Amino acid sequence: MRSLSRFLGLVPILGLAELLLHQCFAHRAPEFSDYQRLGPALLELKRPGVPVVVAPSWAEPLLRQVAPAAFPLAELARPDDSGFAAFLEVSLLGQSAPELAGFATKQLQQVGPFRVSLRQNPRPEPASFDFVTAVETGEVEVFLDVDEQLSPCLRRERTHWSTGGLHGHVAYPRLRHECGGGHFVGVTLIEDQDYRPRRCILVQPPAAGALVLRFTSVPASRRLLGFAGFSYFLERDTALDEVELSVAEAGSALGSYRAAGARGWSRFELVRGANGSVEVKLRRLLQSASDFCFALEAR
Amino acid sequence: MRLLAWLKLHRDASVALLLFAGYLTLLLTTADSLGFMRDEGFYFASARAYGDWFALLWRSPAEALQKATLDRYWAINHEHPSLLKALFALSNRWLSGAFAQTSSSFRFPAMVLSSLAVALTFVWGRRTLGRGGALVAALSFAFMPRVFFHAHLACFDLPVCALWLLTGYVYVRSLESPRLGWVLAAGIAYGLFLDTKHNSWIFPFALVLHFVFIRPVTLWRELRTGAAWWRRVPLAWLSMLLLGPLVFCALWPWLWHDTAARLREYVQFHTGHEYYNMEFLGQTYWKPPMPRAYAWLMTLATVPLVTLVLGVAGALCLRRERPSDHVFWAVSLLMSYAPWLSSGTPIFGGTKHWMTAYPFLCLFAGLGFEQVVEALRGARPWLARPLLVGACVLVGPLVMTLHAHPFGLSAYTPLVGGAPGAATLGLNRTFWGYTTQGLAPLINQRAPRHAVVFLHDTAPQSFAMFQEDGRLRRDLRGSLDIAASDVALYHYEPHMSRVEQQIWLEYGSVAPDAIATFDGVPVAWAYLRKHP
Repeated sequence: MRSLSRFLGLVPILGLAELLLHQCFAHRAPEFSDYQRLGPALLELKRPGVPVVVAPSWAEPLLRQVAPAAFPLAELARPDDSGFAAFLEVSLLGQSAPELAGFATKQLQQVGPFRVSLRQNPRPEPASFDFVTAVETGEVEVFLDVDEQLSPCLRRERTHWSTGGLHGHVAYPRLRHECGGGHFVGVTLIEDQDYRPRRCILVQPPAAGALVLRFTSVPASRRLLGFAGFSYFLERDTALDEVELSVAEAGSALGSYRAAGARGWSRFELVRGANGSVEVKLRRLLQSASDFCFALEAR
Repeated sequence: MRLLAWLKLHRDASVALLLFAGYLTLLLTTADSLGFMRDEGFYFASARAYGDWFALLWRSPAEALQKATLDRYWAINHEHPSLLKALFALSNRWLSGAFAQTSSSFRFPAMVLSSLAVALTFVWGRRTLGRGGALVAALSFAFMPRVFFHAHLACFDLPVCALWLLTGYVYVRSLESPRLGWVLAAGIAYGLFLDTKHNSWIFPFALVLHFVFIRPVTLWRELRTGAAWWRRVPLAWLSMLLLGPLVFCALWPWLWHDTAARLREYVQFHTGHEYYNMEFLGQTYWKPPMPRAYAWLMTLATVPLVTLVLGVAGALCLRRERPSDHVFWAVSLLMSYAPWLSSGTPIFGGTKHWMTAYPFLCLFAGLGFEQVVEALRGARPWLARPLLVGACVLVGPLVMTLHAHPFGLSAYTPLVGGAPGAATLGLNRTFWGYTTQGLAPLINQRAPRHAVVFLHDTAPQSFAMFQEDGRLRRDLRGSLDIAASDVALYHYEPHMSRVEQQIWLEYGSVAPDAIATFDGVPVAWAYLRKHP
């Protein structure tokens, strides 16, 4: 009873301490003017191929606002981190990015309340060929395959992206290979299981037959690293395999991967054999399958 | 003695009146800076329809009472009972001239009920507490950041708090008064409660628990011996059982025809409610199992710690006088949280769905406050001044609450590091699309004339109210189509990130043109299309 009384006597102090802490936390985060001062410094430190990572991630929009050039879409929506040799980490409030744990800090600079550090990937696996960029730049031929008969899909440019909003389809690109019947191939973004953006090749496989993407300029490498998925928000309840992706090189099958929405953005690997043109074939397994997206890199 | 007693009563009534008027004034003076929630947009629209029906009823009662007419006007938003929306409608019709902004006329009834809840907390507290304790209880409730936020809204969450409190108070009074008035009032109050929100469905369980806990030994003995225990069942139960549904149906014209089918539809809507998305500790939940720690952790993260500690202290130090009241507070508190013991209960409403517990938590806090003063009296008599102690335990909640406005849903207590700490922990930063208000300066200054604004999570009806109130330019057009827009809004929630990603592609930029922040944490941002 005596200790309870003693504890109760401390409650007014607790009230004042809570007020003090509130004042401290309410003014702890950097001001917008701090971000404005950071912008030019960040752009000076930023090198191509070195993505910027913000810790905590909630501050990223403020960084994007003051230094948009530090966030090229290909880096912001990268398929994963393993292909990059280094990252430029901007940290505030003493936070650091969990995905960079184990990455050595090479350079460190304090800019106002921000710590900007270059973090070195201990085992980088740089890509020698990015299939997503190849689709964007037209280094691909796309065909509709019905009963082994290939008919080419024409590359067209529309004036606008077509966006579906929250519950609608993913963004349909301006630049696309149109295959008839409303099916097309292009580059877009989908969100993964953490709702982070991933840049990928959007494919709408037909109900019958398949879509074939042929890449003729893929340099020799040991393997192909792939990622595949759907808009997680739209397809996260679908556990059944929806689309099959199979890859062949120089006429030999390298392997295949089946994607389901509930698995989110998933990784797969294929070992390469003889070097030649790479064909990616996409087949719909589930009639209700929606917009499928994949990324592929030669590593 | 009579005069003294009257004076005492009068002084408490004056304090209650002051609390009511003071809180209502504070709500009214701060409402203009608070944006409109999605749900408010739907309730504005339904209130306008109900208001049209009231006008028709006045002009042509026979026509207004026809089934087809009733259905035409009352079908809108019939998944929620009518009382509050009808009050919004009448307030808008009769009082709109009294307010600078149209929205305040709709919000006014909910503000009145919220202020009533604050005053009633004091009144109920006074039955077992000193004036200081009761005042601490009422002000602790008034100055919970989330309570203050919801108290402004043309929604049902604070009104249902008020109705739980009112029905409970009347019920407890009916147990000790031989007057039939309290018994009848309990039935009517429960009818109003039923017609406010479905939290009222839990209330009977609180009554049963109260009945059991108040005389457990006697009841056990009667049950064992087969004595007529049911004779102890309060008359108010009968009143609530009969009058409650009667008042409920009488005040909801949608139920005047096809009553059974429509009641079934209403119940089914809420028992099988869709699971919306909610972020909790970095994970987005959209289907069961929901995290069982959600309600408890969110309470810890959003209710001032000093209020919680006082509440716990009060609950641990119950007094002998008026045990019936204290038991009622305890069961009301527990029953308000009970649905979240199940991992099947949706969590999308943040803290608002269990706010009915908060007045009772604060009543216990009032009790705890008296224990604190008592403890200090023994140890540090010079500190044991109720005014001083009261100031110490209320100044934090008051400052936090005023600071949180108008970003109440982004407000977190120091226990989780405030808003920045909560964002780092992955607690929900905002929902309901109301933070468009924070982006109004950019939109008004920089949107081209007749620009189309992609609204994202702001309901079109809420956007219309922004314009009607003069908060957003009237030449703007709201749209749910990103491609057609010149300005695109984005209200942050992880599962909606796909919307922002679509804006990046459509606008060709990842750089927001304006960001609304709370304590440095981004909650909503806007993009302007750069025309070549």
